[in-house]
Amino acid sequence: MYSKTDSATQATPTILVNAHGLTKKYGKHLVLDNIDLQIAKGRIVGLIGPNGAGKTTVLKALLGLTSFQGDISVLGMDPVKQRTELLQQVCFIADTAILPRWLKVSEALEYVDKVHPQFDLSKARQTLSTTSIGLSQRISQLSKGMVTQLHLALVMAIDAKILVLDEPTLGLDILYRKQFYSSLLNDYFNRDRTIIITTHQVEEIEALLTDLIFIHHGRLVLNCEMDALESNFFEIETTPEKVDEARALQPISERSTLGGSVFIYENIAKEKLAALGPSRTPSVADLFVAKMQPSQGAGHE
Amino acid sequence: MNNYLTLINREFREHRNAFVITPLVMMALVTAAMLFALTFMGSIGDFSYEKITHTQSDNTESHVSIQFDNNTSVMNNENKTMSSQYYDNQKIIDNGLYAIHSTFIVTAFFVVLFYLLGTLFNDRKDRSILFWKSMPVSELQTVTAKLFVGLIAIPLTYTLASWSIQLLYSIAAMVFASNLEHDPWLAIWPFLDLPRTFATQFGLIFIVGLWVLPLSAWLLTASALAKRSPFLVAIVPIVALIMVERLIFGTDYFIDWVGKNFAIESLTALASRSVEIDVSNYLATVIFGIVITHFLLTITVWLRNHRFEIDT
Repeated sequence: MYSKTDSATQATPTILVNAHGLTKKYGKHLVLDNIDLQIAKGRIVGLIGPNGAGKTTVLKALLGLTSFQGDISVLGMDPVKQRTELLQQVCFIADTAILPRWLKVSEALEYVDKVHPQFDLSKARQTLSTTSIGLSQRISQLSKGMVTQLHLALVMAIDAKILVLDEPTLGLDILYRKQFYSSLLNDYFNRDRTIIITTHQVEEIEALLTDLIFIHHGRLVLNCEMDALESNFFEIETTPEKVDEARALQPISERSTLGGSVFIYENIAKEKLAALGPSRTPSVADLFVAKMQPSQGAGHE
Repeated sequence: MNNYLTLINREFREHRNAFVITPLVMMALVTAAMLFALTFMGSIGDFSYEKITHTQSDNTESHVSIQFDNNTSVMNNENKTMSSQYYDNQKIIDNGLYAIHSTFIVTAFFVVLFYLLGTLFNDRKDRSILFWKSMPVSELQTVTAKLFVGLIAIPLTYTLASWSIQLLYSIAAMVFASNLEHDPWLAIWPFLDLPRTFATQFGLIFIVGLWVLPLSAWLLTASALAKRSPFLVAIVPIVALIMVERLIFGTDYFIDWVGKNFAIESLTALASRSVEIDVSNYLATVIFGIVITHFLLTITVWLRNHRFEIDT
């Protein structure tokens, strides 16, 4: 199995995605607000945000599927003007239910084989042979999980530099979700490939990610490497007697637990928290809530 | 080119019923109708025992004649002057062939109409467009492949189906004549000019296709533009334009112009069973039609690239 940290420690990362001043409006509604974004080669980037935050719009902009203001370069190409060329190097799964229902599995394989120069038909067949999907079945006969397996088999057989996954496990049960991410990490990912993934199930991809991006109201509210979380964010659980002291240190989030409160701090010297108790790195899910809902006790003094 | 073949193949697979099953069902139905007519009515359309049975014409100038009453048919066509009798027989057989062909072509017309209206709408409706868009195939390729399928591939498929039945009709006619104890090689065969008939029908695909090119492009534009009903998007602006012109100016220039330039000629070509239309007479119309088509296809491709989602 490839270790994701190998690529994360590359000395001079090659930037594959470079977005500057990315802005998108639907009428008067500002969906993306002047976003700057860089994604390097060999990373697994989680783009996390609540519904309507703009994460799908970011992905669409990167794939040339929507118009936008600002500059985007993906693999050195303009995703709008060079979309067809770009898609020889970039794969995406928009969501789980988009394979045409009338298509047979064998026809899907044949189609991708004929139009995609980077597609390895034997590899796709090999992947499918480990599943219960039959080549003569129509997509309409497959369960949602099987459609996802098929789509992943198609995508994983493409020798692409960037894989974009937009809520790929939406609506799938836990077994398929685990299988999906396991295949992704073990069978697909390597130091030459980059994965950008959006999901609501942040806890499931936490162990997978090398980089974490939070987006809220069209703005990036967090953009850092997973390794940097340890040094930038601390979570402390305190007793009721120390709550005021904890609040004085300006946490970004506070939540109540049985017998105490949990505070999350950002960019604070660890020593300052020592008196409150042992600190730990917050989970991505807790950090996500903290960043999305700062009103829950954040900034108390 | 490879992509185009794949895209055309994809259309046939997606529309299997309209492109494959329907022609096969029609072939079966028309064959059944012919057999029924032969068995119970003694005729196939205009083609009947009475009409192919002629005695020697009194007209001495007639050099093409058939006589069945003494079981010795005589055919003399050395003189190229066609007798009215020859002409009648030719016409009867042609009518039969074109009746069959018309059945297939009228069906093809409706298949093409609904195909063009639905083809850039359905994949947006079920969101499978995102799968197609994840492949390195440009929208220009997709749209032009669909136009080709609508204008050429579907009519050609139905024409091929029609030809097989026309061939069957011809064989049935010869068997029919034979059963009446006439020599089919003299009674029927000389009047069957299938290569000419088929060549004309083949040519009509392109002639009619050229004429309806802008209308087809408009249907594709409506299909790419519609959020609910491509049919209404295609029809409402045209009807509105006609009504506005009528109400404000009291004139019918628009509908007259469309009818004259893009509909009547193609229908005339079909009805006259001839591809011998002097395109030079309509050069301006043809060029204008191509310009309109280019304009509409540009809009369609833009819509596919930038306004493909039905929700937004």
